[in-house]
Amino acid sequence: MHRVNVKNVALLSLLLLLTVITLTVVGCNKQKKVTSPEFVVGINQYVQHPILDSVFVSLKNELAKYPNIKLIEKNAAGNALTCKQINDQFVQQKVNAIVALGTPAAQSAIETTTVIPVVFGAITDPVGSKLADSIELPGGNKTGTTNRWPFEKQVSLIKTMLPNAKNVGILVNPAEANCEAGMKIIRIEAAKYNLKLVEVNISNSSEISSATESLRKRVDVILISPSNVLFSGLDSMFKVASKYNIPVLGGDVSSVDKGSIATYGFNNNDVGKMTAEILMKVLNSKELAGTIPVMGPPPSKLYMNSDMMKKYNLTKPL
Amino acid sequence: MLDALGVLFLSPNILSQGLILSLAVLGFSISLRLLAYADLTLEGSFVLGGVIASMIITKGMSPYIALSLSLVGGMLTGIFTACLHCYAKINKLLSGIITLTILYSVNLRLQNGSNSSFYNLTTAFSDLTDIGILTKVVVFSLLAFSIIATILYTRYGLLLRACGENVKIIQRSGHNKNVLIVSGLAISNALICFSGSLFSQYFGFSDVSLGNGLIISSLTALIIGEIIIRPRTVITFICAVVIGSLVTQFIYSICLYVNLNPSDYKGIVGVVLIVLIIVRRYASKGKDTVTFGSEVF
Repeated sequence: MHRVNVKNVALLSLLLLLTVITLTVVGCNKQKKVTSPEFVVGINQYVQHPILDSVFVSLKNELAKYPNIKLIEKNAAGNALTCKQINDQFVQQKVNAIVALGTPAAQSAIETTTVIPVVFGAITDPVGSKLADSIELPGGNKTGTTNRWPFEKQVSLIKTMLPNAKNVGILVNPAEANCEAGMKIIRIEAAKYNLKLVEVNISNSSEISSATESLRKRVDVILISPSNVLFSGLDSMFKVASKYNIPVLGGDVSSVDKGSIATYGFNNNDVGKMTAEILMKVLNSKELAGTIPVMGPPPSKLYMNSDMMKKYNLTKPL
Repeated sequence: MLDALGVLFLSPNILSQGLILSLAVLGFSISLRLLAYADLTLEGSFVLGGVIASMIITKGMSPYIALSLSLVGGMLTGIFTACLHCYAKINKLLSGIITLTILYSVNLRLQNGSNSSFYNLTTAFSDLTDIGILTKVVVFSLLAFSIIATILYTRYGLLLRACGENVKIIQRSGHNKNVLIVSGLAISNALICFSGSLFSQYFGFSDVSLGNGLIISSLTALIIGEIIIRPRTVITFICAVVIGSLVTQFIYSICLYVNLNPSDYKGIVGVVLIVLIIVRRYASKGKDTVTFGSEVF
């Protein structure tokens, strides 16, 4: 019959024990004790991403004003399993509320607990991803903020800035829920203005350059889609677009600095502030979180890149 | 801190996750150790399980139909990969990578989007407490383990092992190695896909990124299990897989608890894997590093 190798078990358990001890020591040092906080809030961020990061930082700064709130910050590094484990730990630690940044983090939070309030932040389409029953009445233990871009205004910007444009190129990553959610609105809006959308699929940032190249001579203008993959490789798109003199419109506020002619957008810090505001409402309210309407997106403003405006001889829309 | 760690270790959720994942690890180990086939299809077939669950569950059908269909879906992917290798003569690693790539598109088409939530829909784990979920997971996995053990104890199971250890013997004794590889991969991917379906139902949503990093974490789990229990029989082999998966989940969970920098995770996993492989070499004292099945990695 089989015999368990005693030496190996001893060796491995020693290794494990060492890991546990070092990690615990490291962890103890990191988690500073706050004297009797009134509220403990767990923040679960899905992945490190410029938009989520800035929402997180402004949320944290905002919450720093309240000394009675202790934060437990976790990042799932883009892994859905880790998201679930983080939420499990929050439930075990009996936090007063869970803040979930990013759709998968929020989805796993509302599946993990139906009791602890879940405040989701920076979600493009809360209703479509079933995080909220409706914007006015999210239902259950869940509410939060949305950072949906003003797609309607961004599409109408094409008409006001480039009235002769007919064909609009757009790079889409069908693997991203937020990108698909945005595309649904963009398709409807484009049809309204009689614009023909030329959609090119991308699945990682190395494809952006050749995808943009393929739009050459087929489109009059390129619109930026709300894809995270595209976001991380925007520079390669601008490089190709400016080589072939294709104007690029839309996108996040930061894309305007990089080479988008103009866009309607908002500062992501405002989303973080809104998330903090709704969290405070949830913590101080006696009622269920689901009765508090979803907030956001913050009011959008027109941002323009004057160099690009000059390059394509455009004037500021009225 | 002690109290927190205690809670952590007893948590039924970690046990459930480890057990569900151990099904996928077992599937991976069958192709890797028995057939000596490093089958990279698993990241795709795991996601396929979740996608099938979303297709069935969002239509309001029973989650158990989703689970049984995932077995069929997994088998098909396994057969496809094996056929690429056996009949199109494509390299083993490459055949898995090709299927994985194709599955990415297939999964997106089938699910009609990257992410699908089961919130307020009936899954196999709706309306259950943590302990209830664990019980159900234990039942499912015991069922799967006993079926696999029975298969491996038959003459066919022995042939599968022989196919990985020494193909020539198989051919000279008049058996068709292609049939063995195709059926072996079908079994292994059916398990993986089943695990993916359970996993997404346990999570409450299916996402095309669910399989990311599964190859490395499965390999880590398998090697940890093989170091703790040096398996020589089918039963101990399955035990090694289960224990390896559970230990891996505990380690992940501790890493999370102590707030390690998330961008370091992958680096840590890589280093741990290297250390484990060296430990395995040392522990085997010059004998076979892998005591059950063949050593691919």
